[in-house]
Amino acid sequence: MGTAASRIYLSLLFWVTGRAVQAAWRTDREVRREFDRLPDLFSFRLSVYPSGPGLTIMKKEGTVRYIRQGEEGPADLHMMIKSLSHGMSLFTFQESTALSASRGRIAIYGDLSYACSIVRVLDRVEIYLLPRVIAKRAVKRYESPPAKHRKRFMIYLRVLFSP
Amino acid sequence: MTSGEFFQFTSPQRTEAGLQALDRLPNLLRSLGLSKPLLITDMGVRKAGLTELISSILQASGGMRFADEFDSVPPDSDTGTIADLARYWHAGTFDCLLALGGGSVIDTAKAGNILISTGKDDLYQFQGYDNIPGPLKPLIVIPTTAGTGSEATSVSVIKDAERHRKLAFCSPWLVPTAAVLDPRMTMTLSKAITAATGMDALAHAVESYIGLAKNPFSDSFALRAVELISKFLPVSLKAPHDREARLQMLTASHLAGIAFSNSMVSLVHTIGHCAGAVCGIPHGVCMGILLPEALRFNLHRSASHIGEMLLPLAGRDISLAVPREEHPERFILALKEFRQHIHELSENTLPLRFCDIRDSMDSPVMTPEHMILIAREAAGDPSRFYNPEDISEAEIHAVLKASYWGYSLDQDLVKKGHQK
Ligand SMILES: [Fe+2]
Repeated sequence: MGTAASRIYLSLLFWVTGRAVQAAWRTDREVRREFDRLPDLFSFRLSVYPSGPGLTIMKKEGTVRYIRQGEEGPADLHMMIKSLSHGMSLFTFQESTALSASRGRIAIYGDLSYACSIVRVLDRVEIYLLPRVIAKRAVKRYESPPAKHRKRFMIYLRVLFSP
Repeated sequence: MTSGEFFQFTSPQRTEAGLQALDRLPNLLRSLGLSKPLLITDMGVRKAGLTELISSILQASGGMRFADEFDSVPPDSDTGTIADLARYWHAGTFDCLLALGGGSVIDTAKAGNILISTGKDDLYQFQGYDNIPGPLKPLIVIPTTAGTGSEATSVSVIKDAERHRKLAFCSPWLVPTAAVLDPRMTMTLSKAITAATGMDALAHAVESYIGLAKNPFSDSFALRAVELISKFLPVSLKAPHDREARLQMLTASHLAGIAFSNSMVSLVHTIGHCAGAVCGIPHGVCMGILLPEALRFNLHRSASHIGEMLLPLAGRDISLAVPREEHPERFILALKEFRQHIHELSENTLPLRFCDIRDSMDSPVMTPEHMILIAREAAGDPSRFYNPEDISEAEIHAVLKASYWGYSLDQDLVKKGHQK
């Protein structure tokens, strides 16, 4: 894919993933538990070096929200994918976030223990968003959540329609 | 990893090693254009007479000396100590840091160097992975234990005294400029510390060899480290003043340090860090206890890699006598035999199970409540990224329980993942 096409593809994927994190927080107990570990007013950004595309999530007054591009401030935890091509291998699900990070493709600015929580959230969200055969490659360990299909339906609805 | 996959490897450091390596310290400083070192050390090192020895070496060579000494690094250094160190630096005129000590001193010097070099006063903004903006002041490290390997690594971990969290820094800029390995620095170590730190070095080598970030470069360092530890840790315990053995152990620890600086560590450290923090058990002791069962947990993912370490650990005879498919299991057994041997040579000062570690009232230091807490805390330890298999709280608890009582982990308890 060319650079422009990669950017458009990644922007779309970041948007879906970001909205899905917000939706999964409403739908899935494990995701909620991970966010419970994080302090209030915690913001997290995953983006491609140097200036995007990316997604920003914020926990504020007990709720978790996807922040629209352009409205985000500085993040407490910023995971910076070092190049567009690394972003593509991550978001065409050729390797998991953990593998990407361990191969030095992602710089992490901030508390690494929070990054552990975020990686688990992203893995969990990918299990909901993706068909099993693709998600197996995208996450470190594939575990079907209880009532996966119902929750997946809910999450997709929320990605598309929730405010 | 298979061939063709991306990897990166950094070891931008000068190493000087030898029975009298420190005699060359003045030359080393001169060749780097340095003359005003700030010595960073702790009281234990000072009491052992090691600072004097180095002082006299510097003095003998054209009257060089430490520009000043900062010797108040506590065993468990925190952000307060780092701030003191930075103030100390800015109040004087120095051109490099010279760290003399074990893990805590070296990590303090590295983290202090971040503040010193950037002129900032809060470490918080630099935590993370690749989050240090550029080169730091020259740092020369002289390790006084053979285990942490911190003199070779890109990592520093410091307690945040205010926020009660651990700050982790990982950046190639943290790798010290030079390391000097001289066995005179480790010859007076007790058997307990020799054994425990040796286990730490072994854990670094083994974990870097099975972790997700392994690569052909770090593999070579790791395998050689395992071989040296297997040969020379027993000698260092039998004959503590054997300089050759002490030097080989420093070398092994350094090699393992280079390996894990690039490939990182995984489950043994994930659990070990938390057991250390929750129960105050020394790091090396945790490593020795956890190694076999944490490896067994990873058997289904990393069998071939685990098996490949049988030759350097157990030698040719055993490795040839055992069929290849049994090498992984045999490695874990060999590890236990080695540990038992070290336990005996250390005059039983290296515990083999958590249940054997007792406080002054003879109660176990690790309680069942601790185990629950350790398993929970392990969710936030970044070394878990690098473990070949993902691991849940319940599984960490299972590894911990097996290591507590000294039985073998039931592999059926492990939920096998899917990704290669
Ligand atoms: Fe270690």
